[in-house]
Amino acid sequence: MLEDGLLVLKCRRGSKDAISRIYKKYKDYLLTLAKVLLHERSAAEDIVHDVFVSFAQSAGNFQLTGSLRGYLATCVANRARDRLRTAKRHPENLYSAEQATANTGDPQQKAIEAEQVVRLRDALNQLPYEQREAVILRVKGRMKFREIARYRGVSISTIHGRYRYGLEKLRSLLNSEVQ
Amino acid sequence: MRSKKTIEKLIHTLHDTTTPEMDRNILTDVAKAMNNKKTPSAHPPNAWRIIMKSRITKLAAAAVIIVAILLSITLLDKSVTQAYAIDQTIQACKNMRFIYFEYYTPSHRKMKEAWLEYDDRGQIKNVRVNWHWGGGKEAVQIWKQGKTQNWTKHSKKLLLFDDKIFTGKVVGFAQRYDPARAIETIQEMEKEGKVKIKIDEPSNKTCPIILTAIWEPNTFIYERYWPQMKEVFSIDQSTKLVKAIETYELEDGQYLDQGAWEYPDYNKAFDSKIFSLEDELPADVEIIDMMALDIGLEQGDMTNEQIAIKLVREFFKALIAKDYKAAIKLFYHESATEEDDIRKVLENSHVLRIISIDKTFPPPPHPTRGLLGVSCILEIEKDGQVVRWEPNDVFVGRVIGHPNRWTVNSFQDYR
Repeated sequence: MLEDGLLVLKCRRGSKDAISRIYKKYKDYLLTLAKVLLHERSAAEDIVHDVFVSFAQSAGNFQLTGSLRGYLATCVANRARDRLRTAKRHPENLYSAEQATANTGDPQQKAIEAEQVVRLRDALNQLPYEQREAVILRVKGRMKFREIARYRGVSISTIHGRYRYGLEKLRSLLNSEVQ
Repeated sequence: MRSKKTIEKLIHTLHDTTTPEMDRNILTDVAKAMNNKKTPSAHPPNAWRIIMKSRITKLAAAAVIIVAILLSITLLDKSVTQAYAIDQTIQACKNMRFIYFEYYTPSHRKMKEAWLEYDDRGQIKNVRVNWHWGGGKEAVQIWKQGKTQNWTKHSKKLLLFDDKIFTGKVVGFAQRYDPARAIETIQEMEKEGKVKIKIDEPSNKTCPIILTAIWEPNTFIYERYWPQMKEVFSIDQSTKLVKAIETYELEDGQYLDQGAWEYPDYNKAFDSKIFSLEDELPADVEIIDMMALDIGLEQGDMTNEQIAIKLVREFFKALIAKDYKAAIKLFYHESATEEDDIRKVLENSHVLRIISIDKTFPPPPHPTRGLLGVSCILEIEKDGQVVRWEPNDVFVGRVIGHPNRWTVNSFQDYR
């Protein structure tokens, strides 16, 4: 935490080395979050890119109030949410291929992952977005329910509920596959 | 049986790793972003105060100012350098028959390339756009004199349709990315007060002229509303041709990079096969004639607002009645094979009652949301409880190939 605070301070002073260290520290973590939320590698890469470029643009005025890890995770979740909304939109123009290409898996990537992880990813993808978000931010993002609730602008009990239902559904999906 | 704890542990094991290429791209863009921003200094030195502390420096500063004024007057007087004018670029780019360009995302991935062919009168004749989505996902769109073919390679679907409104969008696309027309349009917009133009002409002739156009927010042009945009045209100093157009969108007070269009070649004739899919289509492609699809609700004499409200009411009524066949007909899709997936989503909606659906609102400035948003207040069952739901992203629009019919395009927030 202290290290993050120092890195942010250096970023505010324009240190490229500091932002590069933040990137190296959190890149895989953020990519993992984005991929779970979007279920698509190239979209997840774009999200991580946009989060860091945006962070670099605003670094001069950035004030760290909570944890940097949590802040970056919520940036990823916000953008993933926007992106999913976009993917559901109407293709009434030359962008129509976007909708048709959304949310299909990458077979090569899947082949090299352990079977149970593949099943977990597929199960996560079957959760409603809000439950998936609550589960991944809580478990993988190690965020407190209070932090997630503040970021989503809902009550802690709502986040608790989403998390509980999400985990319950995951359990039911994964156990039914075992049987 | 897996316990919740085991699942949490399993989630912890999820790990994705960035590639060196991704790292390189991101760090390059991050460095660029850092260079472009102003770094606040904790205690900026006050030069004026330092100068004015000493009598000698006061005199020296006054002398420097006088010399600078005299020099600038002399130089201005002798200056005969021809200033760049926008019309030079319009002339240089005008009357091109073939325009090819590539679009790069902010992470420098080539996401699309386009071929535009114009006829002798400067009217758009043929358009081809190749989409590269990454992960082996590719699509091709060809528009020839009003008729469109949309081929998504990975899903092996070819959509055929003939739609005047879509044609209007293609013409808008061709106009927007034909540099001469794009700059003419920017000039017109400046006269109407919709755009502010700034030109930087560097003295180093190897550096491009930079024309920056700052758009007013919510401008309606090219058949849609736009957010507050900034377009940066890089113009070759010797040829006056546009070499690239970078686009930015204003978000939370900052212009965010939306990617760039690059023009590597001008007026190089295309291969005649570029506007035909005949030799490219695989044998197992599913050909879908959108004109034959029975979808949407007919607008008839209704205004856009009236059809939007009627459509959304009928859609939710069908969901309440669990009449999914009727609901699917009112939900945008492109082929009967998608209906099972849509049905699964709709079955999950658990709408119980309409409280009110009586207002429309303009969609946010985004190309794909549809024509109108519809305000709804509904009662749904969620997590085992009856709750009030006010979705803010119910959008409706016209159906491709059936411009007089409307469908619901999105309503995802309840999830």
